[in-house]
Amino acid sequence: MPTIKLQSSDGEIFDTDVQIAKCSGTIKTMLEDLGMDEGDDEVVPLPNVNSAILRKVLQWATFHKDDPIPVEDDDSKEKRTDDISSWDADFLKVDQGTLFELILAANYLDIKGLLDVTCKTVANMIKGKTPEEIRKTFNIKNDFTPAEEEQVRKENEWCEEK
Amino acid sequence: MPEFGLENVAPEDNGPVNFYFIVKYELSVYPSRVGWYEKKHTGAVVRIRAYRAEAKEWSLLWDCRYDGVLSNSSPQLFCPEIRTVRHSTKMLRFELNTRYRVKAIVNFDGIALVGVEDSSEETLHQPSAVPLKSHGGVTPDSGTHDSSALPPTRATGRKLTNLPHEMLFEIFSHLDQLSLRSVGQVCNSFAALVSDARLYRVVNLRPYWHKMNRQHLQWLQKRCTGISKLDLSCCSI
Repeated sequence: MPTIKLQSSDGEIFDTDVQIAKCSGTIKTMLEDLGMDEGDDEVVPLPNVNSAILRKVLQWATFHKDDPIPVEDDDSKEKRTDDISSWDADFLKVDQGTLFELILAANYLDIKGLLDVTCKTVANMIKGKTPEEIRKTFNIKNDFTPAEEEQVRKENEWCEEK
Repeated sequence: MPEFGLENVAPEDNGPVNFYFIVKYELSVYPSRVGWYEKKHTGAVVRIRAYRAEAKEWSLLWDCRYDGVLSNSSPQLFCPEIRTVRHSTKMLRFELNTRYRVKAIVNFDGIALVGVEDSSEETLHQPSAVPLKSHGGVTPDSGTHDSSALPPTRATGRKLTNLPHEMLFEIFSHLDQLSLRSVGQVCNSFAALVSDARLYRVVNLRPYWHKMNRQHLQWLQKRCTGISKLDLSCCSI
């Protein structure tokens, strides 16, 4: 099976199946536009992804290599977040920092399936929480002034249980 | 953009920028050199200022108008000639303009401040290098209005709040209305993000039928400028 070499930001080289590497829209376009031939010894540099994250991404892409190409989002459909497969859920049991790095990598590499599932995972961490719980979960500082906070609270009285 | 310490700067010396960040160092020095490493999409830096704590003011160290081509620089490593300032500093402010660029992403890998600790002695030719403190010292939440400007990547322990806004938007697009309202009460930048009309193209009020009231409809109305589907089943309004 033809392979190409991917180089992470910290210089590690990953010998990767072309088919798997092409899960990434960015790499696919790069290979096609640059006319890089399979079997060439050229290295594709990925300066935005470090080796730890690239390893995870390739692990994900390997598992999902036979997935059908995801269709563009239909705006009229409601988005759901309860459709994460158990393999993905296990795969994404990582610390928050890694999860956010995976989101950035999926976006940079243009891997829609991975971007979707990572964003859904974060969405699930937000769902059903109060603002204060969200701040705690993600270590976010409340930067509202007292006046702003009062206004926001008033606007949202609707949410409070009656 | 909060302009603390810049009140007395003439407008012509304070041209528009759409992003800035501040780097703090442990030691205060009289700056003799500033260097930074930008990995990609270079050239967004338009000004560098040094903070003078005693006067609560920023003084200009470098302005791209005077050194547009960045002398002493290689394609990614920038080390322009800076002005001499007669005070020591431990804080640098990088001002960027990414507005006219194809890719508004900036990526700093390291920022060095070199100078002497005390200018009164003849130490001027022996600059003491200040340890590089790139990622940790950056305060990325400092006033970005352009959503795509990025604080340095590869920071260890990345936080949700310093993901680019497009990514946050992508995450929020998976949330229901109740969660969106919670998110809007977390902090200022989230509040701004969740009022984006694109999050309210499809609105299903059915799960909230028992909570519907005029107030919430008004709240929604402000946001639903691009709505394409609305489900009001079971709501008695």
